[in-house]
Amino acid sequence: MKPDEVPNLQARSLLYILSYAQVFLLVLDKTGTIMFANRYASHLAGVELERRHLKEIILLDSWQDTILDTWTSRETPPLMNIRMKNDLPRTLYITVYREDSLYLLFGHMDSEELQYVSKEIIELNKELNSKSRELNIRNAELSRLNALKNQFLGMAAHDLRNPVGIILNYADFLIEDLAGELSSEHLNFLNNIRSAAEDMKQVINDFLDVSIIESGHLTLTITETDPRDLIEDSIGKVIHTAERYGITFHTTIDPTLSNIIVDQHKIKQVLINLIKNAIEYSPKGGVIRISVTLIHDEIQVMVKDEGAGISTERQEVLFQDFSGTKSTKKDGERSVGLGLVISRKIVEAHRGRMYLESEPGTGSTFGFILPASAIATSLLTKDP
Amino acid sequence: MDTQVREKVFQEFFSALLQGDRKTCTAIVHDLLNQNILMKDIFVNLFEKSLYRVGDLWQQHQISVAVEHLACAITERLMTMVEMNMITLPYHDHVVLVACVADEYHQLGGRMVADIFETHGWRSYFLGANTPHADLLSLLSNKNPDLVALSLSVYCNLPSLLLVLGTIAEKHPYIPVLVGGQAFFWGGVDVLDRFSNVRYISSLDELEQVIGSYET
Repeated sequence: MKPDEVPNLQARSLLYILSYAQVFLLVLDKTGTIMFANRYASHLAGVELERRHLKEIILLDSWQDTILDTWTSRETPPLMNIRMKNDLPRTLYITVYREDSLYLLFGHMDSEELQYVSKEIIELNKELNSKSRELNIRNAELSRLNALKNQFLGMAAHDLRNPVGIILNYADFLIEDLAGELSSEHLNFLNNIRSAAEDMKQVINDFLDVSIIESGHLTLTITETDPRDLIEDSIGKVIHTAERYGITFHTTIDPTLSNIIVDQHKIKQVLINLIKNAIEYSPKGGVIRISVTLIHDEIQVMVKDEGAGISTERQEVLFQDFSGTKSTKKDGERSVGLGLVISRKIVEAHRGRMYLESEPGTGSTFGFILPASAIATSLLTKDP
Repeated sequence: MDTQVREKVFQEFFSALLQGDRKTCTAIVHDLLNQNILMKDIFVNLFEKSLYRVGDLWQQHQISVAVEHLACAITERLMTMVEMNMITLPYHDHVVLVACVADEYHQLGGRMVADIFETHGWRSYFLGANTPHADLLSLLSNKNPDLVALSLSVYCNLPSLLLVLGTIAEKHPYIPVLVGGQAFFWGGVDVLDRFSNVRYISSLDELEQVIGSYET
């Protein structure tokens, strides 16, 4: 029967409460089985409640045979925690009356409590926002300090390059002019000075490159270049070291590939770095395979060695700035591990990406992939 | 574990937490930090102990869901405060992935576990509450961690945990998985025996023993 069909006001009000008001009402038998549930109760539970047991809707494992009597006696705070249809919990403040062999359970939500919690959550959120703001300020300060660090790095590297150049020049001069007059021990000393200065020059150049890249001043001079020349020139720079270890090169260049559009000096720098690394980790008498292929509008340049391979953990940090991957190389030369970082930045400036495939025991393939046409062409007209 | 957190301090904190009194709770934790009390001690003997009691009261219909949520929110905010003082940058290569499985919305236990790994120099990836299975497995493949730690607070989410454990055992059988949380107070430890790569961790002390085995 609908409420408006009931003539008596009190009875009609009761029907409104049962049918429409946000009051939770259950009539339970003494075992806890639900004999009647109003519309709101079924709505919260998401199922028809009649003939179900109360323990099906309250928190799991919280049913006790004495719970209805406890609630009736009001010995504990009159709370009932239920699981709603979406399995989220909700708390009802309840009043339980005993009527013969039945229990009447009325429940409602405490809007004051909800308001208090909302206010507290808003306060907590405000506190977090204020902490986020502090973090943003600290991040900005860190960025500024990082820029200062790069500036200092660039200045220091620039100032160190000249004296190192002088050491190299005079070492060359002495080796050339006094080679016949010096004992082999003293000549060895000079060669060591020269070799150490050469290593230092490489480190300084790496620092300079990083400071330029980090400051956002890396500029590319894009031209059309024959990839064969790039490979040949790069191998030429390291051929003496390779020969010392009996390492040979096997080069494959896609015959369909004509000129590529890159900054040839910078890409050569990347290639030399990859080939030097391959020599470094190749066994004596090993073969380094260099390939350039055009695949789906991309130019893939790969350098494969026969070295020991690299673990997955190390692969993750190889291309990261100052990642702690510094190492001592074959000749005792110390590397600060910036070569791959610089390579990555140069390749990314060409809108390309680095490539690495390696497993311990199977050697490594380092390389880079560059866009061949549309994107590369746009580099001719725009800054990277 | 022996604790520097006195019972009186705990009672003050717990009482304030139930009343949603964030300022008193914050002042108490501040005092403990000023006394150089260890992060783990605060986690176990203040936060964990309080939240377990909050959980019990909630289970017994003594407190409302609002009080429970507010207590968790305040505690998590205070954990951030403790972390700021304690956590250092990773100082070795060990990696752990910590997560709560799908439908598990209680993330404080998992966050404590991640923090304990961090204080031991591990790099931890904490994925937080309700991590979808696909995301968890994808990150697992991507990060290839030394360990995975999964937290379960609500017993009825056990099937979801077992599903993930099954997939990890199938796809990454050599990655050890640590499992723990309040849910196991209700049972379920024995069903973990079916996975040879899974170990149940009953406390942060036991967790530290496992971490110690990687450091020797």
